[in-house]
Amino acid sequence: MRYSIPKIVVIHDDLTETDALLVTLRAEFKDENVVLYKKSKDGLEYVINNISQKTIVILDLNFKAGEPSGVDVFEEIRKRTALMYIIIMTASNLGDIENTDLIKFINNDALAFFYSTADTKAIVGLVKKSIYQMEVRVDSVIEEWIMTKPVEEREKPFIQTQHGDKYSLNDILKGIREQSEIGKEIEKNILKLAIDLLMREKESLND
Amino acid sequence: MGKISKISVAENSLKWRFDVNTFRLIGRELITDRITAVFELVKNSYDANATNVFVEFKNVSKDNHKGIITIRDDGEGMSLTDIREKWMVVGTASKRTHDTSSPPFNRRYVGEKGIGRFAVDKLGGKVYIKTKKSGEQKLLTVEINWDNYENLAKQKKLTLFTDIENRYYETDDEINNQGTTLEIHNLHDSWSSLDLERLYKELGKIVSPFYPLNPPFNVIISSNEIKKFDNRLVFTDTVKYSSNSGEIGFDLEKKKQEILEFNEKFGKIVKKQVPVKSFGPVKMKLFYFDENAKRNYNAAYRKDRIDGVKIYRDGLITTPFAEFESNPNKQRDIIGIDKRMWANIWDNIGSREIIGVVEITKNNNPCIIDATNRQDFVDTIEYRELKDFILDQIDVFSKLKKYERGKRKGEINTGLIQAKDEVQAFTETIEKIVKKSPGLKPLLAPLKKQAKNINSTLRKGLDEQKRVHEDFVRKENIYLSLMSLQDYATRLSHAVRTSLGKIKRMAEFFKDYYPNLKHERYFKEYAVNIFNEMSTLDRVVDFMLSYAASNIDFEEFNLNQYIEEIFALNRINFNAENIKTIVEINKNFTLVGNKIFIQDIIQNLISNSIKALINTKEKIIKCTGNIEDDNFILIFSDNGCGIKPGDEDKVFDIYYTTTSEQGGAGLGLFIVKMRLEAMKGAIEVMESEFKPGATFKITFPFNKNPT
Repeated sequence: MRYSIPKIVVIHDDLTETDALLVTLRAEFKDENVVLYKKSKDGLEYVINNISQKTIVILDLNFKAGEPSGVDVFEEIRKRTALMYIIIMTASNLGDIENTDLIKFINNDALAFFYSTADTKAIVGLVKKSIYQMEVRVDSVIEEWIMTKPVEEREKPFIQTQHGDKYSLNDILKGIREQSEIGKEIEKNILKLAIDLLMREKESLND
Repeated sequence: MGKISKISVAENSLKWRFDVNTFRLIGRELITDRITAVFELVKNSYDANATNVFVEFKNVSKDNHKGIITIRDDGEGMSLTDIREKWMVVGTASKRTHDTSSPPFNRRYVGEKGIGRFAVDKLGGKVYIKTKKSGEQKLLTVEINWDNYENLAKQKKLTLFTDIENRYYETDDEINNQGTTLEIHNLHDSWSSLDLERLYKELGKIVSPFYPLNPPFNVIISSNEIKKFDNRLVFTDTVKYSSNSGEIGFDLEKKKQEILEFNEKFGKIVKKQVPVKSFGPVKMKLFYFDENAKRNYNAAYRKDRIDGVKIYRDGLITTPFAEFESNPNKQRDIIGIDKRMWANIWDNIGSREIIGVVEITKNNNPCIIDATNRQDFVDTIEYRELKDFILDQIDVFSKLKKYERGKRKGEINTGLIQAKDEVQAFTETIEKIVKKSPGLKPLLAPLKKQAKNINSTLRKGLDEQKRVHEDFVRKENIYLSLMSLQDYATRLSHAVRTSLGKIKRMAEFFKDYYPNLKHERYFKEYAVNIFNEMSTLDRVVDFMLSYAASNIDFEEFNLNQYIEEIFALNRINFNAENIKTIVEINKNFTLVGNKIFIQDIIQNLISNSIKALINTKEKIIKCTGNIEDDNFILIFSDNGCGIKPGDEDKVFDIYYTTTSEQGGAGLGLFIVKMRLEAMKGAIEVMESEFKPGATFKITFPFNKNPT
């Protein structure tokens, strides 16, 4: 299946466009796929406006007073979707981060943590791994598939449960992003279906 | 033995003469800065019975010596004789025979004797004095060219101050006009909006705003360049100085009189309405001053005392009948406020703690009549009731005072505090008794000594208490606390780690990509950046080490003097760069703090300014200081290249610099901010005084020395 290259959104106020990290990322993943936002508010806005775009966010924790903090940005993104990978890159001591914030980070997957002194190689490696993960995660794939459907169709009822509840593609999309019961249920069922089909050799992997 | 020749000695004498430089010597000693100079000149107008004084600034914002300052009043003016025999005779005041000016003004003189003339020299090089007395036919103009004196002073030939001729001439004028106008040209300095604000604040302190003046005294400041000062009347808010105040009036139609009452439940003063009293309806304003407020008031209004209650009839003051401390025999406190105080010293309020203005009118209060000896009012039932009424209103404040004392007691362990207060009051009472009957002094001296000893013991006990419990009523001289080494470490480690990260990534880039031609442009750039980052890191480490080793001793020093010393230390740099410096800190006070910290701050700001001024033609560095509430505010400006809009916060970042070509490594302001925050102070960029240029506002918080 053809896949789209995800966007790498760097939200960091200590990095400049000529920083070695940015240059390396652009060299690896192409110029147009890497964007830098020095103001957390602008970066968050971009991500929210492109919520369906496969995105890896490289996020700083400390921004200027008056701007949303790294934790704020993290929470706002997670409110809307679990499908974006967020890599935290900070110069602050892990010990200086509030316990309550740390707990928020821990109870999440699709998350990584680096100090600003980390090797560029390590960061780039993690980005590549995240891209791969996004390819194979069922929910990412489903999201991408739903996005190929025209907008009007996504509102129409698509699935009906045994109890008579109807769900549209948009409902499913929301469920997947928010990892709600219905979202997880559908993921599980699709996986089951795929495995069943393979086992019964009704479908084969065409490689 | 030789012939002793008779030497004839002619009897002769020598005279004192004054070199033309004398005027500068006298002037510079007497007047500390420009604001004070204008202040003194306006005081002279007050003493001359002016009702309106216009202080006008024309084209003063640029340093081109083309501005004009005009001080114009409608006071009594001077005749040619006055100028010749008084104004131009150094050393005399007007040989004042009275303490007050002529009626109906009866103003107590506020001007310092003889200073006025030299104040003019502080402002500009040339002055036209235009003056006229009412009844004279001619307007007299005298031209004094201080710059001319200056030029003559520079010459080798001795010129005497007293030999210089000053031109004068007379012109026709309306016979009834009167007043004096000082027109000052060839100004020495430019005046910014901030300077005018400072002047505005000072001019509000010529007379106390509490006791209404009749005839009035209005000062109006105007500038043809600054909108805010388009005929702006100087006005001081009375509320600012007193700790509590109350105002009562009446309703003639409903025949109701307002009175004050103290509400115990809420601890507040409230107004109530009662029927009009026998003496007729009255208006009254009362202002109470606790210790703190008294101190602030006395610091601002050194010649006007808090003087109890005064009664005004139809706008004119009646009693005390033109009294001032100079004549202690005359009755001052006819209402008997202080007499009452003896009854309950700890809570009752004396005439030195309250300002009251009672307004009566002939129509509404016909029973209050002046006595024939003009020392009091006629002793009628109505007058006695009025006195009681006034005392009742004052009592309301006593109740408030008692309530607040009680509240304070409830917050900390009360026993010691009460004892201390009572011993204090006891000592004060003894002093009052001794003042009244000096013969008792030897008898009471041992008592006073005992009381003082008890007082100090109590104070020690209280201090111990404070150490144990949380203290909410701190009365300390300075408020300096130091950031711990740990805080510094946390702050700096973030910056250092960011820096190290950048360097590491750039080195990694080299490692992985060199010599790939595709990235050629980055190799060079990164090499330079790595070098710069390392240099800055080096300085950061130095700073950290210096802080760890620093002597964090506190000492007492005079801030004004110290800042002038720092500027003096930089004199060589200023001269080399041709920088004009203006230092105006017009309050002399002692700060207890860390001198080195302050030196760091000022030195950093100076260095920054020098770098910013590299390309400026007429370079200026200006440092002014003022006390505002419980803070000392320092304004530091230069007319250099300024700060890019949007960068006002960034300039304090550890790596911000636009002056790297001049050796700026961006660390200066970061250090300044850290130092200030260690003192619980602050620094921020404000609208620049000069355009172009940069202005910083630095706040040092403290509690003024309570002695």
